[in-house]
Amino acid sequence: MDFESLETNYDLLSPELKANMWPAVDHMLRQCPVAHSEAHGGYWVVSEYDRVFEVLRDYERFGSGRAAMVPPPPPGALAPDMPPIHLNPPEQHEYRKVLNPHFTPAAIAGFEAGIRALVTEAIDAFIKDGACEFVGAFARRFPSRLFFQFFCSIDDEADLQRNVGWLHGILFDPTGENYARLEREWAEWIYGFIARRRQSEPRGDLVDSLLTAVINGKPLTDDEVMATMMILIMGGFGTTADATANAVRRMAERPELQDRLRAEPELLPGAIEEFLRYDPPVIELPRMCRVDTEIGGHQIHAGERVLVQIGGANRDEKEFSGAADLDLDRPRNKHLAFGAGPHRCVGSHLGRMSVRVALEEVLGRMDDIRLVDPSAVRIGAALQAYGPEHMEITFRAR
Amino acid sequence: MKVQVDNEVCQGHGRCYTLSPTVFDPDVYGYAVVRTDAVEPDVEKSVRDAVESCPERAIRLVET
Repeated sequence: MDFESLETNYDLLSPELKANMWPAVDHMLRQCPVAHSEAHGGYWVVSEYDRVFEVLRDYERFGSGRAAMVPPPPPGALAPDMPPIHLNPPEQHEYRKVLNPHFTPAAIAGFEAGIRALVTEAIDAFIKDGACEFVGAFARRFPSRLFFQFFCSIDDEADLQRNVGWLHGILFDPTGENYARLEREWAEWIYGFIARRRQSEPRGDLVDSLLTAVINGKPLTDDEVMATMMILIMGGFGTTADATANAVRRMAERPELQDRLRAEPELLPGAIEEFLRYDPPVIELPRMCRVDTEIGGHQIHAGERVLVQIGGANRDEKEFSGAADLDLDRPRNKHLAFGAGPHRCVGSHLGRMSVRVALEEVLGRMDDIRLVDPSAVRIGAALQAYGPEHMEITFRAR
Repeated sequence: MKVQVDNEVCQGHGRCYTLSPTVFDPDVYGYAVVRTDAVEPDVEKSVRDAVESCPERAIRLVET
């Protein structure tokens, strides 16, 4: 890869960039920690930890919104902002007050057994083979129904399969010709679901909270409920799959990590934080400059887009000594895999629990996990995401 | 020594109540609250880990 081209043309959609992400990030941290890219209509790329933190925290200078998206949504895509990710405080905070109580450690603790059942069912299907394509067989399989079942009380098998189909189509082919059609079909289904839920007895789930929420003195419209559900579903699924597959990829590359975590399972929560630092599932986040300002000596004008590189922040040697090393004993780890500031990932506790349960079962049931061909691991095309879409492994069933 | 959480800065990452669960608790929104602000020697290491693992830098130790 021509790393110098990154200094003027960082293209987050480039498969070549995704395949060379970590050397690319290192190059940007060294050569152009604040760069301007000509790709997709032009945007700034900010890499260093302190500056990424500054942008994410300062929503008055660096706002969120659909207009910040790189690239812009494809023609024919739905128009509305998706609350709360495309809103700014104080309105964004009103949404978070509705959503957050559903995602606290206490609120999600009851889902652990259900998640373990989904994980176990997925492993049961391939454990006898001693080999699998891990992403399809496991990483994208166990979390795909989690949100629909536990947060939206959707339990009809046909409904689940249709929703998972739309979700996959939209997430993993973000610039595909079918995107707008799939999104419209999915939205239509969700509108129907909302109408049914408005007519039925409350269940006390997240959907009920959205249907009864009052924000800025008004109940949410069907459009707002639909868009909120859509972004929560999209935000939770691919990230969980990527975090799981990234961790297993690194353990398969370095079997001593597996051995250590099997011998000392109490290290797993800290190890997950380190896996998230090392390979953040969300590698970039977009913001829109709201005022003329300056960052790292560069003048940035109101209306210009800024892409913060979570991957850069998490590999910045100024914040993490030995940043290029995956260190299960790293004593302090303020990684930004879940973002920072008002938009901190609402599902971070659920994501951590899901990955922990998945890795507990993987490590507990599969010995000697190896990559069939480390050079054949392919990174997926999902927007702003980092994780394998194809990864053949072998293992010994315990 | 006492520990304080700046509630204007906390965003609910929950690193503190994971690393030092006897000192920090989540509230109903997942934001951190301090259960007992006096830092006893047996929890000092976990509190320092929490301070240094807070992505928002919202936790402070104050000498008393």
